[in-house]
Amino acid sequence: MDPLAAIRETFFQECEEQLAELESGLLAMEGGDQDPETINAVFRAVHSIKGGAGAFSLEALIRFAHVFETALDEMRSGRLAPSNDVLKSMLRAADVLADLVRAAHAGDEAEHPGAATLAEELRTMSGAAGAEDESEEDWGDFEFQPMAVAVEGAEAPAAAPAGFKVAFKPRADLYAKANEAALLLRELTRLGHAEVELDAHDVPPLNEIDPEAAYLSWTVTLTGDADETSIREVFEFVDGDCELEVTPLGGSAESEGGEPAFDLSSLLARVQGDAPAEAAPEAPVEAFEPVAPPPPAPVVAPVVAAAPPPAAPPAAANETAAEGQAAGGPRKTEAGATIRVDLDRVDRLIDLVGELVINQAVLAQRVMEAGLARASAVAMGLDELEQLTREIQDSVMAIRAQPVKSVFQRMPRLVREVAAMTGKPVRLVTEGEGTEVDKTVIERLADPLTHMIRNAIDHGLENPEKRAAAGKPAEGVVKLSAAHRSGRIVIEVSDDGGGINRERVKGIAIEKGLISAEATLSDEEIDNLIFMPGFSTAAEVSDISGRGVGMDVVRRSIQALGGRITISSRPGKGSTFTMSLPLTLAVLDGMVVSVNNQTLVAPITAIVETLQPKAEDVHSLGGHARVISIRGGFVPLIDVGMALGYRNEPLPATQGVALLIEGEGGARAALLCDAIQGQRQVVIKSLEANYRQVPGVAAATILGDGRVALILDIDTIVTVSRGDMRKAG
Amino acid sequence: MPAPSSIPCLVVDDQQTMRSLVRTGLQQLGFRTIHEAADGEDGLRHMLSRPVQLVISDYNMPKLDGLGLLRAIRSHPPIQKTAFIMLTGRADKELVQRAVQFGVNNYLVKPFTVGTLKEKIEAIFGVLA
Repeated sequence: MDPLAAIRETFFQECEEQLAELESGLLAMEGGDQDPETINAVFRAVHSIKGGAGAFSLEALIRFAHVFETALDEMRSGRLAPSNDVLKSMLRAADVLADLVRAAHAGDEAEHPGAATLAEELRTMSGAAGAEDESEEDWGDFEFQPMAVAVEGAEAPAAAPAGFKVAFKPRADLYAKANEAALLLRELTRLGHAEVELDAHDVPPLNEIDPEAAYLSWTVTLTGDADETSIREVFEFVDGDCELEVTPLGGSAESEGGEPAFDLSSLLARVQGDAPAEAAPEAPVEAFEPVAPPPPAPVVAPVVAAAPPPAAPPAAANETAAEGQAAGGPRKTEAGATIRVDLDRVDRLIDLVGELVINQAVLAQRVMEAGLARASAVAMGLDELEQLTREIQDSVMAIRAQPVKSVFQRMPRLVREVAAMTGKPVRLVTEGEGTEVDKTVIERLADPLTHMIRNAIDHGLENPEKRAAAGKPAEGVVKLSAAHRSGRIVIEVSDDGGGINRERVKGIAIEKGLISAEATLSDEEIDNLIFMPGFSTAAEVSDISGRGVGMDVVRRSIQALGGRITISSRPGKGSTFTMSLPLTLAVLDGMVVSVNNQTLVAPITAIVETLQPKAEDVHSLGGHARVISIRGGFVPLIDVGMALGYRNEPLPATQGVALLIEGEGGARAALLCDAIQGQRQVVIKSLEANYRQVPGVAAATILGDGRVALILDIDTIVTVSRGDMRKAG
Repeated sequence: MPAPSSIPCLVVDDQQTMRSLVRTGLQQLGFRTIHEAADGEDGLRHMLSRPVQLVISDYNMPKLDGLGLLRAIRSHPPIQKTAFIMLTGRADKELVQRAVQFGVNNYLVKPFTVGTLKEKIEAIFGVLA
């Protein structure tokens, strides 16, 4: 790929991170966070997006980001108070910025409908400062002069002579105590190459000279390896009897007047705390007691210990470095601990590990068949291999795992929008954002979650008046949480609204012919009616809850991920939708069954129960269509062998085993198989990628004996068989 | 006429995008040893263990900003001679003036072209080979 195109992709990836940072920062500020670093981070996020957009000439993005940045700058400098209204506008601006980033990524040049008005709003907020445009500002008489440096071959500048400017002005006391300036200067010149300048300006005319006064001062430019400590040591015994200023060359202590104090030694200590091995390269090694860090070893290095109060930076650095080492564990991982890897590479690795798992199973079976004892070295080695293979598989799967945060963080915006549309004040509470699950699961969660959150606000929460009447706070709460539970991820969407109106739900279901008027349903069964296809409680399809798609679509997408969704509701208290999903889509818990000497796998998540059909429960509907009575209800009995074309005559029901399954939309059916072999975790292999799509077959896997087993597509089998049954009936 | 390949550089920016852009520019100019750091502290840490001759650093960064890094470099003798180019979002006089006080060698306004980058480096090291 063209390097610039690759960088452009990186830019958009980074934008997503910055947008997330922007939003969470603004939300934190809305929640009362006054840490200046928060507003800085918010500002930096927009600033970075603008900077990158500039590099790729994304004009619309640059323009908006600039206005936004200006307003944030006003807020950062304290000229614009972060009131709730201001923050609300900023959050909307963040939404627009996100839209613009995505539009730019997609190459969409259409005008953003909200950008202009919001930009105007931001400009008004920024006041006069916002009027300042992008053009170069007037630099007046200030002219920048680049500072040239001499290059010394390939040598790193660390070896180049460093140096100090030493300003030395003896007081009269120095001479009175029989010290000699010339001796001090001579000693100083031994530390390196020195240029000594005498300042004799203060010397009065001869007749006015006080022989005991001090008039001379010197400026020594000392280059070489000497450090500040050794320079100050020269003047150790005249300390207090002279004015001494030691300034690093190139630095300009005199011009730092207006700047806040700068503490190099603590900075160095902090930085080197993360890299103790490199601490203080120029420091004499003997000066430190490496085993016991706290006291800087006065016995070994009396000179260093006796140095003037501001401890020499290297000493302080090493001291703190040692402390930092003990406490610095987590900090290390913070910096540069992640890499970006092409997803294809990870998937290739997952594929290979899948092969390894299969191979290991094949090998184990072969060893068993060879009749080797369980305790034989080969069998034991194989057990270890199995253990390792499983660990590798888990670790590799973990690479694809991502925190659900990436989808959770899209929800605050959705909540803001839906809240604005419905006029219901809503607070979104999220929990367990760090919970990890496979990337594909996360991607495919976005739509169902969006839908459920819309529903929770639109249908779940009452309007403020009703809430007030029920003694609830006007602001409704929608809670989104994620947690790991017994090898799956459980995601809950709950609201503190009125709960499901069961009378109304039942009425609608009857009206739509989904249930008969006489049906007696438990509360749970009534609640679950909302998952039925064609059920929609909204009197008219609102903008918010969508285009006539209901909870049945949500359920279908969750099931497509191998998940389950349930609802629980308490009148007046609210409803909770609970989704339980597998952590990965690469392996599946399967029920291995035989049908006409074929081995097939049914996903365990779809199986409600297994049963041995009794002759009196099975009723023929003519043709090959049969139903089976289970606890008073009838469900179609589908012969899997017939459905997949393995046989032409149905298996007598009493000779087989039935799997009661629940497919799409809650439709139940019983799948008749010859026998159950057992439960097993299987590695999913795409049939489409390796062969072609086959109706009734979702995918394939390879079993321990090396044979391919097909994984049943329960939904298709049920739908197709029902069609057949209708024809037959 | 210094050969760019003999000048090790360090690019400091909290944005991967900017680091990559500067790196690509430097590579086009013939620079070979290019290190990257994600903020001022990270940059300083890097320089203490592996000194470079040229630092191109962003101004606005978390932890330690570009000015902080510049001050740290100029006041720490082993690395104080390192050439320093400050990357800024716009031609901000006040910022550049402060950077000059601390001994910045040159500054570079984003977005920049490879040509500008070359000019800014040559103003420090002389015409590149």
